[in-house]
This record gives sequence, structure tokens and C-alpha cells, in this order.
Amino acid sequence: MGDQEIKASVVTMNDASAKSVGGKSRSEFLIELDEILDLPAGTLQGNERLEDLDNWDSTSLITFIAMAETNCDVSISPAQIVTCSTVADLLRLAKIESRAS
Amino acid sequence: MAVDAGSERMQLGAALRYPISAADILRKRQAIKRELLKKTNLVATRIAILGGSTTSELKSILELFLLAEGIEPTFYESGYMRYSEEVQFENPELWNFKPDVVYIYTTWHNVTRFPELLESEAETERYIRNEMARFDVLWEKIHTRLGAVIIQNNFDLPRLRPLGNLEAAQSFGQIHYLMRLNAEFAKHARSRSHFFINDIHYLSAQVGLSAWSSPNYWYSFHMAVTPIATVALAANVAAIVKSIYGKSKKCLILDLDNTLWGGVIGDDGVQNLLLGRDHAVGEAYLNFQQYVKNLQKRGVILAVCSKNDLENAKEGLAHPDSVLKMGDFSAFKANWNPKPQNIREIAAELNLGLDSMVFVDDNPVERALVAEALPEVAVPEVGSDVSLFAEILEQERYFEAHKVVQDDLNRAAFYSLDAQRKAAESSFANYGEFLSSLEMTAEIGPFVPVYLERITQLINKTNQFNLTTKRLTSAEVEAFSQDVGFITLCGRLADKFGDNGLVSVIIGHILDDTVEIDLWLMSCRVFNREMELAMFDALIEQCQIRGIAKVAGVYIPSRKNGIVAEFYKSLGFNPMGEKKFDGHQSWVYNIRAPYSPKTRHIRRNTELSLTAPAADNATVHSVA
Repeated sequence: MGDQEIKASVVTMNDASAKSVGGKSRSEFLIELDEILDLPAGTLQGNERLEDLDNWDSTSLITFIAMAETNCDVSISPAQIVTCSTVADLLRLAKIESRAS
Repeated sequence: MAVDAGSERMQLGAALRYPISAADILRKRQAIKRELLKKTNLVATRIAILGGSTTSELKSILELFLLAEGIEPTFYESGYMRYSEEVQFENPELWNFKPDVVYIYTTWHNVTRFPELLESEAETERYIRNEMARFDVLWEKIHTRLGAVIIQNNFDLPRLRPLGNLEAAQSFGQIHYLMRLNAEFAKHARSRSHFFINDIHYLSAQVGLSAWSSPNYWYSFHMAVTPIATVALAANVAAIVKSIYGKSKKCLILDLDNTLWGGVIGDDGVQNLLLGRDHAVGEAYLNFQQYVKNLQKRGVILAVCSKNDLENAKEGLAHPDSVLKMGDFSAFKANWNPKPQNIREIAAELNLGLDSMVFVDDNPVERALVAEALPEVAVPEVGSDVSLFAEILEQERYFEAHKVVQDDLNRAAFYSLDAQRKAAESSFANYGEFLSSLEMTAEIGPFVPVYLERITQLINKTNQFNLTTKRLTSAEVEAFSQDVGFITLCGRLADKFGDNGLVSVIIGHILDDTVEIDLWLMSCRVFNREMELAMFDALIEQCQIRGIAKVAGVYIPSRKNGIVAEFYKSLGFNPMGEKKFDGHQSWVYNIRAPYSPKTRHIRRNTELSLTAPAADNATVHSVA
């Protein structure tokens, strides 16, 4: 692979709209979280604290787990979600963002 | 990204229609619910969900599918896994809730005990008897204490088969045991008019066991069914409820070219149509015709709406391999008029509401035209692949039937006889002479058990000649029939062309010297035949026998019953008070002796014949 091709692939990996393992981009997944929490599309940016979100309850938790399975082929347990305190933590669980980024 | 609000609302409204995305429904459920609650004329119902595992997801999704059908539920949810205890022991909360429907949400997880390895068939049979006894007690208590309709899950398939294929064949196998229990549940359903099976055995196979259940959801939440599969399950339960409330569709309108046969008959000629088993595509059209024919056999009215010359259309249906024939269709429009216009005419001819119709056409332009012009008509996006048409119709559950009665099997014939009557009418200058020529006889009497299914069906399906649009479950109808504080009447009408079957129902409760009519309806089949006068004459007779001096009634307007707004006035009732702001108007009739019967052209029998031909009385439990 030449230098230009390596640079292109690195740019693609760092792109905010880069696809995750299951094909959903970060922005797409955030919009789906907006829907789960009954928020206008584009509300969540990823740094929100879960305890501050009015509709973050057992129903939205279950739907989030279902979305992670369906979209990202990732199986998540409630025990793992309990360790999450922000939306970014949820995205990491769903493997939308890597821990390194 | 700017969102078109109107477009988003349309998407939300269409979210529960084919093609359904379970993921979309789960994510957007709150927004979908808000959109669905904008519907008017919702029918209220009270549903108790008795759970053998976690039911919160089921309740939330079921609500959406019911709202989409025009039914607004109020729920009672049992405590976790307390489906049996909440019924067996005193439970004022459940008793006071007075559910119309009790839905028992159990799965294979709730089987008390499976047979042990190599246990004898006799021992296995004993386990089955014990399990059935447990459920029998539960069902009986619900029926006697609550009088509600019961919807009961049968048993789904477990993911694991410790014995492999032996599970299905050996009496001690879990799969075999579950199938035996399902057979027993089905037997119970066949003998009870108020009891219905929600077939999760089928659903678990349809969805696929890996998608149906998951160890993660079971161990984390004790959810027996995954959220994604819960969408399919909720849709299935909603279909049963909507059928009970008379909201299943009644008429299937079909295009012809590339819908019932391959090809365009006007261009290709009948000899070149693809229809028959000697061609893959032809076989697919044949099978779709057979599917449609099976719908017709159980009471779905068929109509054609095709852009064709009439003679070409007839020729196509005369194809030797055509399963469907001209006589299968109760209305037939083959011309070059716009399809929305034709469909309006079909609705008028058949006296059916547009919202009771489904239109199937391979042509997306025609589908869009009808969907735009006639939003009440259901227009599924069937695409152009005939091999998927039946599956798409089934997924929409348009024609869900919770029972099939003999009257349903005769429905197409009724419309055919009506066509003969209309033809005869045109030869008379005087309508009264026409009525006399029909030689009509009516049998009118109190509710009898053998007619309760048809009575319940009429109550829940009749919209136009319906003074109060009160809907009742079969359990409630049965209760009224046995209550001496009520006058119940049902009537059937026959004439020289044939028997219209049971066509009219009255229920009134007695209060001192007055009978107050709770419900009076009549099938559109017999409009303008004086059957309503014959029913009134019968009602007055019953009043005179009981020493009742007055008949009171109320007209409650709906979207569809405008034709009876002045009905009580036409009988000689006087208004009681002013018309209310919501259009309700009360009426009263003082019975004077001697009473002069109003019927002029119907000869009346005072009792329903209990020895009517068996074909009229049987309840047929068939599956289309």
C-alpha cells in the first residue's frame, strides 16, 4: 500500500462519520438514541450524563440493548450498562466509538 | 438535517404497516403513540395482561397496534409472574378493573413440569392432565368472575433441544410435550366461544428461534421474548382483539393483469396469459388465486377493479386454469374509468364503507392514485412479485377472523341473491308491489345459544343502521341473553330469492314500565325491506306481554350511522329533551292499545326456528 493510500485509510478511520463494526456511524446511532429518548433529532452530542436525561429508564435501556444487537451485533447486559454514566459510555459499549478515540 | 414535519408524521403513521421495521417501532414508540392518539372515534377497551414473565415491552407495543386499529386500551398488568395467583386469590384491583379482555401471557418457561427422561407415556399423560387442570381452573375463574374474553398464548418452542430430534417424537421429549399441550389448549378453544389462542408456537417459528428468545433477555430481565420479536407478538394479539371488535376488513378489491394472472390480456390474449402449473410464474399466480379463493370461502367479499374491456376481463377469468371465476366476485368493474371512481362505486353497490376495503394492484401508480384519493382504503405496497402478495396480505392481518360461522361461508351468495333482487326491482313501477312480490318472511325471537356467535358478529361489524354503535364481547352477549331484566330480539329474513340469515338485533333493559333500548342494529343486506318495522312490531309485542308501557331509545351519532338519525321519529317516537351538544338525542314511544303493526310486506313468525338447516347454525372453526 502506498503512502497516499495509507493516509486515506487513516483519515477514514478518524472520520466522525466512520462506520462502526455493525455499519452504523456515530451520528446515526446518536440520532437513534434521540428517538429512543423521544428527543428531537440531533439533540444528543455524546457527552451528556445519563442521569440528566429524563427518559432514560428501563424501557429505553431495553431498547438500547436491542438496537446494539440489531445494528452492531453486540450483546450488552444490564450489568454493563450500570457501569455507564454518559452517552459516550453507551456508544463505547455498542462499539460505536473505540476507547482510544 | 431539516426534517419535513409532515413527512415525518406520515412515516410515524405508517410505521405499523408493511413493511414493518420492529427496530423503528421500538425506537420511535413514544412519537408513534402521540401520532396515533390523534385518531378520532377510538373504541375504548380494558385489557388485563396476566404475565408469566416480564410484560412491560409487550404492553407498550400492543398499545400501538391497537391504536392503529382504532382501539384505545386501558391496561391492567399483573405482578411479575403472578398470572395465576392474581386470579386464584381475592384481588379487588383486578375485579374492579372489569377487563373486557384478559390476555394470559405465558410461554414454555411457565410449564410446571416436563417429563423425565424415559418416563412412560402414561406418566406423561398424567403431567398433561395436571397442567390442563391448573389452566382450566384459571380460565374458569376468569370466565365466571370477570366474564371477559380470554386470549391465551399457546406454547412456543424452546431454543435448546437436549435430546435433539428425539424431542419431537418421544413422549418424554420437551417439544413433543409442548405440542401435546398446544393440542389440548386448541381443544379448549374449539369448545369455548369466549376463548382464543394467540399462536406463539407459529410466531416463534416464523420469527426464528434465535430471534424469538435470547439468554441475555431472559437472565437480565426475565423477558421470555426479545423486544424485536415482541413486536410480531403484539401485532398478533392486536389482530385478535381487532377481529373481536369487528374491525377486520370485509372486502378485497383486485386488479387483473399481472395481479391475478401474468400478462396483459388486452395485448397478449387469453392464450398467452401466465396462469397454471406448467410455468413458474403461472404457478405463482395460480397459488395467489387459490389464496384469494380461500379468503372468499370464509366470507371475504371479492371485487375486481381493472383497466380492461369487460369482455377481455371475463375472458381472462374463463381461462381453464383460473381458480377464480366471475361468480366469485360480488362487484366487477372492468372499464377505463379512474380506479378511485370505480372503488367508490363498488363501495356503494356493496353498501360497505371504504375503510372496510383492501385494494391489491401490481401497478404502483394505480396504488398511489387510490391511496391518495381514498385514504380510508387499505392499499398495501405489494410490489410486483406475485409470489409475495399473499404473504404481504397476511402480514397486515387485514382479514383476521377469530371465528368463522356458517353465515360467513354464505356471504358471497348473499350478494349474488341481492343482485337478483335489484334486477327484479327494476321491473316494478311501485316499490310496495316489489316488496310484496318478494314474499318475505321474518323469524324474530329472543337470543338463542345457537345464534350467539352471529349476533356478536353483527353487533361488532354493523356500522350504518346502528342507533348506538355499542360493541359487546361474546361473553356479554351471552350474559344479556340470560338476564330476565333484558329484552333481547334477533331476526332473520328470507324471501323467494333466498335466506338473508340473521340480520337484526335489539337489546333493551327494563326499568319499571319502560324498556330502554341499549342497542338496535340491522345489516345493510336488508335495508329498505321493512325488517326494522318487523323488529319494532316484535318489540312492542314483548312489551305488551310484560306490561311495559313505554319504549325509550337514544340516537348516538357516529361517522357512519347518519341514516338512522331520524329513525325513532319515523316510528312515531317523540324527542325527550333537546339534542345534546354531542348530537345525542333521546326519544320515547308510548305504547297504546290496540297496537297496529307497522309491517305491511313481511309475514312474521314469532319464534326463531331452532330446527333451521344445520348449515345455518354450525360454527365452523376453519383457518384460511
